[in-house]
Amino acid sequence: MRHSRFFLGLGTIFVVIFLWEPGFSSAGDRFHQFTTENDLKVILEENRGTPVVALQIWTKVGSADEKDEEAGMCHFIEHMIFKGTEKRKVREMAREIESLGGYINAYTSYDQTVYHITIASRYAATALNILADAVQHSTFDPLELEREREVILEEIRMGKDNPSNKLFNQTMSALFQHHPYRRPIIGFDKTIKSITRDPMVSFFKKWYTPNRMVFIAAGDFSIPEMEGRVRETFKEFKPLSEGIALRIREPEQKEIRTVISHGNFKETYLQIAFPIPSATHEDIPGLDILSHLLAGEEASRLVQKIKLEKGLVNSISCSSFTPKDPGIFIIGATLPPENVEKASEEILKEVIRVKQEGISAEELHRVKVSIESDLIYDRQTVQGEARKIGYYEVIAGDVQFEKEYMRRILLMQSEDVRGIVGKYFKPSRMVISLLLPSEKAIFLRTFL
Amino acid sequence: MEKKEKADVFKTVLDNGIRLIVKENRSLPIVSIQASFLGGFRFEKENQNGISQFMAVMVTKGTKNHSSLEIARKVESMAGSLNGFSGYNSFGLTFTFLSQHFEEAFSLFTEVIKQPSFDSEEMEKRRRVILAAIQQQEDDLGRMVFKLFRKTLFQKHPYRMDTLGTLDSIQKLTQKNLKEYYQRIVVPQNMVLTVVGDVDLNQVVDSVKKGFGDLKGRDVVGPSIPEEPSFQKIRRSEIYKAKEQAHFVLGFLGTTFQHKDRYAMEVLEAALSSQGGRLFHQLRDQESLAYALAFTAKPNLDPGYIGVYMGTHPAKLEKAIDGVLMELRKVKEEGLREEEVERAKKYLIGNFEIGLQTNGAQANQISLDELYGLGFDHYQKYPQEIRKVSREDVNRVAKEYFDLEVYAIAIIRPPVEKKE
Repeated sequence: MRHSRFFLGLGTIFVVIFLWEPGFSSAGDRFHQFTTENDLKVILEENRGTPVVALQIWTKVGSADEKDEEAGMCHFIEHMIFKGTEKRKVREMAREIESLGGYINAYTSYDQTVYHITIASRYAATALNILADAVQHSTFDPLELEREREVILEEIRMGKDNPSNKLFNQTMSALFQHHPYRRPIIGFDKTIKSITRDPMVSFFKKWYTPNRMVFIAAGDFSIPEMEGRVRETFKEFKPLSEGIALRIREPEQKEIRTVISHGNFKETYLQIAFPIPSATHEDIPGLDILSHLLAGEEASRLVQKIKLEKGLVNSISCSSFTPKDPGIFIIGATLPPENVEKASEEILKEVIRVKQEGISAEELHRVKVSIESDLIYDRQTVQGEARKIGYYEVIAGDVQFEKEYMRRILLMQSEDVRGIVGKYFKPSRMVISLLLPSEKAIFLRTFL
Repeated sequence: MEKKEKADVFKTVLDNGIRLIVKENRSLPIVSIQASFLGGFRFEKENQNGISQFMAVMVTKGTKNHSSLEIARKVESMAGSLNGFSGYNSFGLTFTFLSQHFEEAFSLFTEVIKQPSFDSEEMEKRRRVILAAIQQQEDDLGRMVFKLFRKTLFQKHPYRMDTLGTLDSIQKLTQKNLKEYYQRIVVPQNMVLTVVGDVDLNQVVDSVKKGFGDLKGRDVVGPSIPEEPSFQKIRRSEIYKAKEQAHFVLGFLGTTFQHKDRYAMEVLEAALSSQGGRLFHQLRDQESLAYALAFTAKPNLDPGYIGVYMGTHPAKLEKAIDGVLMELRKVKEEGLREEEVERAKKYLIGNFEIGLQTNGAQANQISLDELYGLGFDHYQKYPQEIRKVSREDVNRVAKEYFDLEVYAIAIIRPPVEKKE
């Protein structure tokens, strides 16, 4: 059932379009969430559409929880988890899942480490056992650790050859000078070479506890049955309440920061960044709208003006990255080096224009439709759904977050977005991060 | 109209030769449409390499009645995503949108296919972007090494070219070139239209007849493909780039979609490319030679390629190449174990099904299967074809196709003088 309504009030027209009323009428009916006796948070979303299920364990620890000298520890542990538990030898977990036609992988981020399996629903029980085994009983075999160290060093090398990766790390370390987001998730050569087994095992024991985890299942299963299985499978897992050190807060940036480097690349890579609050802040919906407005689609302002009309850049993008702590808004572009100054000027002009002129009703509507429909498209895959649940629970702290977030999106007006530009996009808060081809280093002198 | 039992997939052929396939899926209010044509860079000559991709970019950038921006705004207002695509063997368009906009979306889709303007001003804007993308490719070493590999493996076949084209060929393409090429490819007999999602079958058939029924029939002019000379000796290509890593692809000629070896080849690929497979186990887990490692053996319309890819430390390069040759030799001489083959089959089927969760993925699979002569319902038969593959089939294919005396290898590495 789809319907649209017009409300006339206070001389302003509100156009509220409900794109879709879900078959399950309220968010509460879709989820069943509970916490086990040993403090494991569990979220289940039943969906019998396709006979597939996504199972994920989100551990609330990421690179931002590491000390400087152990940078890359979480990611290293993530690698080691696949290299053997007491029950399963190296790579046996992957083999088992693959032999059942499933897919298993993991990733480490700033605030979380996630282990995920997507598999035919009839094998959900096995997948659950494997995940539970992985996060509780890893052996961290010393020989395997040495082997994996080399693999990670190779991964670091690969990252250095990747200009987008290099630039992003540069931007993060310029915007965050104190907060641990300044460090790359993978760590550094130096720290990876110096990590030893004992500190790794201590770190694992401290963080991989049920009270710091969320188990998520989305897809084809019955909620009562899955609940029973989860409780049973994790019942031996002991919680541990050890104090967690608070992360250093990033002090307010007082003046513009510019960082320029060069490398053996053909293209020139640019990022213009600003600090923004964390995921649940009331200004985030407005910042997301701004991000879509600027470079969300083909019809967006930066694509039309900077890329197509003025031909200053080869590609342009915008993202509002909101991890657990205050995040970063990045406008990125690839471009000829001689255009860097002009392109930066024009990009900033477009941002200021939003503050000065606002957004037309038609444009605002298009952006809202785009954001809202993304949520519908996400529902096509069980792993997309599970990932979203994880994000809401772990980063936003509330699995019902989507409802509130969408409510705020739909209420956003042009004046709200103008206010947000004025508040967050000040020159004193800006970071300009540039990666030039080595042979074009001459342009370093002409820029700022 | 043909009807299948498992899921309702319907095929019909219009009077002018357009093949229409419709699959209803009411679980979400989403529709995905795909129009596919035989084409891609397989149809191209070297001096026009990249024309198909240029066409794929341009086709959504303006029609007789709407400018590029107007089209983009319309698409956005339908919460949609409209894109041209071009690959090895096909050219086409995809459109995904919310089902409540079906009529408007379909009308736009029809207009874009039937009346693209290939506006010259718009073309210059896009040309610049494509030229930059070709340059930027050199920053993606994984992509570069596969490009070099195909140039090394294929001496004459169009598969030696790249989708984007070259700086030279793209620079020279004119509006006239694009229009002529478009008229050659976009003919009804060459068109497969697939609609998957929250639609009503009869409404779709009706709309398609109204929208595309008047498209004129013409014979498809296929490409003249030069014969690939046989492999006489090892071909090695090397490019020097001062980077942290060295990359290589080592491989052989592969098989086709229609060939009897096709399914066994895919099982072989699944066995060797999976995380639990022997290449990962030996070359990464045991010897730490790489983080990025892949084995690919995808069948193609004409014989494709088989390749092992690795990104490694320059000092380990020769060891890594030897390691790959050793593992391939083992597979060729000893064959895979029963357990490996069974696991590979299950892995392949399971991930195939996981990959078809979205309407867009289904529309793509169905569309291309039909286009390549495998049949619109091939995806329903695929799992049982894989189950039929035996260990003997897989080992025979490995023996036949892994020619370790005569292979192609492409390498990108730092110059040897580089100091650590």
